[in-house]
Amino acid sequence: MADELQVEREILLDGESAEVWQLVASADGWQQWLVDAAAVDVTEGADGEVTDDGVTREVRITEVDERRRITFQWWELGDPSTASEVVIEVHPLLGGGSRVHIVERAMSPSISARASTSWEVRALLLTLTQCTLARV
Amino acid sequence: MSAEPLAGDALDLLFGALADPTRRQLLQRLLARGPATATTLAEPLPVSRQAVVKHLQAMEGAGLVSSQREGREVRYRATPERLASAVGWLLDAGGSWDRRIDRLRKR
Repeated sequence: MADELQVEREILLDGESAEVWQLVASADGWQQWLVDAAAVDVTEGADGEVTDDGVTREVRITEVDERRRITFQWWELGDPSTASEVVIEVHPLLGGGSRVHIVERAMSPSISARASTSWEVRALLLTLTQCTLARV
Repeated sequence: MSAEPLAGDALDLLFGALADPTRRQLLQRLLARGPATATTLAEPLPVSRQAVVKHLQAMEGAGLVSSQREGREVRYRATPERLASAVGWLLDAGGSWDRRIDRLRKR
């Protein structure tokens, strides 16, 4: 199941892909939407740090395919077991605008750092299971 | 313009594994009453023990249950910890991207 742990999103924007790429491939751009603070040179092989919603993560830029795709891995500061990989693609649209496609995949088999939320989620699951059961 | 979670999202896959009513009954029973063998689980159900074993094996493959051999029987238990941490990650990561995409759209 861990292999399938991924979140995928897509957004259509009015901005042209060259303009959107600046938001995807620079620390200044990241701070406008991706994270609250970014201290990283967004180039292939670079390491840095970002902070978002009170969480500081180490980040490693693993691939930059200019104006098309960026891939990075990030994990909570000092805890590689929370690592995930993010791929952001920017596609120009015929007739103007652009499409941004985002996939985040968990890399850890256990996601152990999330266990603290497990009781709430366990209760939620039990409720969901019972609800779906009741509909049968 | 628009931002929608795509089909094939892992939460869909997870709940897809629970789409079968027999599997839901099996998981619900394991969650509520603890570990059990396929024979015990099959007793109140209108399906064969072999069919129950197949469902349990499929659920084991999806990480929903685990099995342990005890003598001649295999005992199954629900693994909500793994499931819960996976769902927790998905909800957390998904919520973060929804928030980021909202910021991207409003720029």
